[in-house]
Amino acid sequence: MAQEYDLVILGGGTGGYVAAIRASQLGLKTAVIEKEKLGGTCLHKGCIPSKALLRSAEVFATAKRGEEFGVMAKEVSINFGKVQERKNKIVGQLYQGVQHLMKQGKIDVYKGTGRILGPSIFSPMPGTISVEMNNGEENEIVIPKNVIIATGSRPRTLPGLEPDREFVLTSDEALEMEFLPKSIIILGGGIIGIEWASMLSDFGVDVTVIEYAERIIPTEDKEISREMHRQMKRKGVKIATSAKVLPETLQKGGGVIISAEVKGVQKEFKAEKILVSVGRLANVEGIGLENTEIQVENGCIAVNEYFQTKESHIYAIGDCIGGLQLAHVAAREGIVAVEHIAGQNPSRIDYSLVSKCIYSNPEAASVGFSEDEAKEKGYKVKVGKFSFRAIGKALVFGESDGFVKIVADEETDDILGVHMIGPHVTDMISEAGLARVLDASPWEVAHTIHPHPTLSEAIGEAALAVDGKAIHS
Amino acid sequence: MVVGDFPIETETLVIGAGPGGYVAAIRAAQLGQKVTIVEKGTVGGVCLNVGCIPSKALISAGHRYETAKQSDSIGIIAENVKVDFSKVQEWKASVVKKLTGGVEGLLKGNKVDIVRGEAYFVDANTVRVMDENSAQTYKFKNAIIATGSRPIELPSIKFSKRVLDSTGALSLQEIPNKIVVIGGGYIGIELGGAYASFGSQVTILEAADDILHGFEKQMTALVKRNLKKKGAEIITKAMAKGVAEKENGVVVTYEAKGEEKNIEADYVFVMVGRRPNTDELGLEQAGIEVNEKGIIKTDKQCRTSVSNIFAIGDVVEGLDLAHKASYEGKIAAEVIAGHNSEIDYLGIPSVVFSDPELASVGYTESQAKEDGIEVIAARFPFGANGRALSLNSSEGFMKLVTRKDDGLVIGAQIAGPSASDMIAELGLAIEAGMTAEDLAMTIHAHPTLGEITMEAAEVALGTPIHILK
Ligand SMILES: Cc1cc2nc3c(=O)[nH]c(=O)nc-3n(C[C@H](O)[C@H](O)[C@H](O)COP(=O)(O)OP(=O)(O)OC[C@H]3O[C@@H](n4cnc5c(N)ncnc54)[C@H](O)[C@@H]3O)c2cc1C
Ligand SMILES: Cc1cc2nc3c(=O)[nH]c(=O)nc-3n(C[C@H](O)[C@H](O)[C@H](O)COP(=O)(O)OP(=O)(O)OC[C@H]3O[C@@H](n4cnc5c(N)ncnc54)[C@H](O)[C@@H]3O)c2cc1C
Repeated sequence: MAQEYDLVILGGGTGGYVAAIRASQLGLKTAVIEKEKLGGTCLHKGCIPSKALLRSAEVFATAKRGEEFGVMAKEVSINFGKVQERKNKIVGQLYQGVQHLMKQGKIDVYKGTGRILGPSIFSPMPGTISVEMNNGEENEIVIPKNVIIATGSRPRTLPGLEPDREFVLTSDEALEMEFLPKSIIILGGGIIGIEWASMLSDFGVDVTVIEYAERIIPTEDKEISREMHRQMKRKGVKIATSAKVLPETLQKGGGVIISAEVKGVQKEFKAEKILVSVGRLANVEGIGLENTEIQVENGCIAVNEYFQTKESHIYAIGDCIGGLQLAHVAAREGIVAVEHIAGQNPSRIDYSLVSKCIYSNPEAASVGFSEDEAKEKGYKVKVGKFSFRAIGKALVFGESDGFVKIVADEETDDILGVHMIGPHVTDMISEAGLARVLDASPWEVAHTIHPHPTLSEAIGEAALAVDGKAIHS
Repeated sequence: MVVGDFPIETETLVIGAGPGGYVAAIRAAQLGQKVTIVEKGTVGGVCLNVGCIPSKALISAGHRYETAKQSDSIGIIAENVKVDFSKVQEWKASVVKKLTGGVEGLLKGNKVDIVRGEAYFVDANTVRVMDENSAQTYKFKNAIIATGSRPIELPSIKFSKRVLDSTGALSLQEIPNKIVVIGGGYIGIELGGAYASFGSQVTILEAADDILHGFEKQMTALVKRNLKKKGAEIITKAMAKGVAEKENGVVVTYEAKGEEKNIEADYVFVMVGRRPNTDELGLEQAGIEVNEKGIIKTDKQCRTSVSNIFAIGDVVEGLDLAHKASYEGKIAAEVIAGHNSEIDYLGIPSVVFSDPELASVGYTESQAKEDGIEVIAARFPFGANGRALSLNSSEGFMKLVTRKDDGLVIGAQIAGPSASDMIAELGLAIEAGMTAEDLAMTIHAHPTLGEITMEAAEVALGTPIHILK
């Protein structure tokens, strides 16, 4: 029997399951269709497992330098099986939590692959969904008034560099590694690539990053890139920028050999494995878009500011619509879409208020415009920068490299962007995000009392530095 | 005035170069004043030399030791982990030295005159500064008193080689086997906790019915639980009576539940509060009024009863906190420069570097009730936060206090990892007059601890995503 719903969500990743919970809170009869596991990329192949591994790597690196602080260990080693076990346990715990939340919200979960049908006997409008069930039973048909497509994304690969589980990996396979390789080439120095570089290097792996752009983490402020580059190099990560990899030169055998054109000169790179981290592709195939008027632009589903596709009752959110492919963006898009469906008047998302984090060691985090972006947009900018070297708590942590940089508008005095690199900055970015939402001036942020001795003092000082009034520099 | 003693003239004279004084001096100089700062000890005051920084260094080293010992649970095996305490002390000293050196450089860079010696008021425009072999008179237009505080000594328990104040406790050269800490305030809990992390057997005696006065029971309960895990014992409603020194240790006598008991220990830490350094300043010669505890009376602009003399930090009313001292220092400097600045204490956070960390800003639920404000207190646990799980520290919670009628954020308390860094956002929210809805609407990055703030706000609104209602 075909079930009817107010809302059916295709894909139970971060975007999808958060949308489902909000829908249930708003009284909508809701179902989620998920072909793998609720929680999606973020919980099973992304944010959470990667951060769990990063933490183990950081603890390893910290324990090794304990002597500096008077804490000696005879030998520090890694039990990688245990590292993976802990990661799996955390994922398992959160996975249970999400399943529980679905039950509690009385949200039906269909375990299978959904495909949108065109107009049919079930409905004159496209949007009915046929679910090919994982358990092999007959397809279920669900008839929704509204649909949210939240099918997410998958790692992009390059022709000739498809993952083979042995030599060529994407993050999906790398997260499941049973042993650490001795050496690895990471193709792509974006956020995910740099997290891997930092983690593996902290674990003692010999890492080489090959980045096409002229700097690593090219989406971040230039000074952040530069500091990250410096600190990665200090760890022993080798980095080639302005480097175009030549997939056709790949040789596999005892390891991999591949060449790249680095600033015009062809160079050979060797390692045990190669990790391809060159971006993500939206999952828009095989879900029946051809049965609808929905448009795909540059590989992503086209939507308006309330996330409606060309079929106004079918919405799309998260990684499958492109843009900032981040979990918290997917979640918020889901909430906005649901509230719009429920006839509320949600405020539109201002993407310049979204913070981005990199959980490498050191961490980096930012919100708003970089200095260059602000200048390109025609702002007259003023900049305040404050180093962690003058922050007592950073010295206490033994991690005093890095800084907080605030970009402000000379004319209106509004904060346009905040960029940080250093210890625990991902915990500190919330304050900066709030300051952006408030359209706060540097003075207002400086006026907020930051407790002593904490890392957050660096934000207060950077805000003062915008007008040349920092106390500690 | 002594013949031949030519007074040196300055515009703003700051007495004491702790976090109150040196910040006031730098701000005053930035605002165009000619500034002189007098310090009888070391630049940086209690905070940098024998307070916040060295205590956090010991706590941090203690954490390192514990993390290394327990890291097999996250797949890292550290064999034979040991503490070389003299090395810990060396490292601690190096951190202090870097920071005090830094402050001295900053004062000079801002053209503040640093004078070594002890200042004493002669009248409302004059101090005499004495060091071992000379004395000099200074005339000022405005003065800022920032002479800080010192540990209180109990009449029946005098400081000695084995009866230590916080300064003595910070500079031990070995990890004692047994310590008794008298006083379960934040200094006692932090330092007792640090030594417990290093393996000392610690007993904390607290006269009140709970430790960490001012923090709610649900928060102190977490701290007590972890202290006990480290083998520490906490005895509340316990009055320390006296100490008998023995050859290699001490016996502390205390009374609890009407009974007198003894504990043996290697050292006793007496951490029962601090008193202001206002007794040897000649305040009466300048006409500055103090209360019966020696606290200098000030108005909202940090002005004392003498209009050209200001006082800040531990010598005035309020919590003994470094950032409060610095904040008051900036206000005093601004007022002297003719700005119309005023103190607003609601946004001053207090933090305890216990395990887990505690932080609080603005109203607690019970304070709000006392003041007759109807509030919603919304709780969100660290255990439902992915980042906390990945960091392996998922105990604790945030409590957000919002006004019932309009949702205004008026307070927040956090117990959990990085609470001290997370509280800054809540301070900003309070300062900016934000509501729970504003906080919920602000997209917080995933996976960060900051999401807890957003989710607590959603709990306040009745629409939490990641916990059940
Ligand atoms: C290694 C790595 C680290 C990352 N780290 C971070 C980070 O730290 N912070 C951050 O914000 N973001 C991070 N991301 C990105 C984040 O994971 C994504 O932005 C987020 O998961 C997007 O959510 P989503 O709901 O759009 O899609 P997804 O989480 O990809 O979920 C889509 C779901 O849809 C299901 N699905 C697809 N097609 C169908 C179908 N036809 N029928 C049924 N189900 C279907 C999939 O199985 C999947 O479960 C990381 C990503 C990676 C790969
Ligand atoms: C163990 C411990 C841990 C602490 N941890 C924290 C913490 O984590 N966070 C926090 O916020 N606070 C903490 N504090 C409290 C903090 O140290 C004080 O609140 C802060 O130092 C007060 O600053 P101040 O400028 O008022 O005085 P002080 O720092 O006490 O400085 C006063 C200065 O004045 C000088 N002086 C005194 N009399 C004279 C005179 N007559 N002439 C010239 N100079 C004089 C003194 O030598 C001293 O250098 C801690 C304190 C202790 C003891």
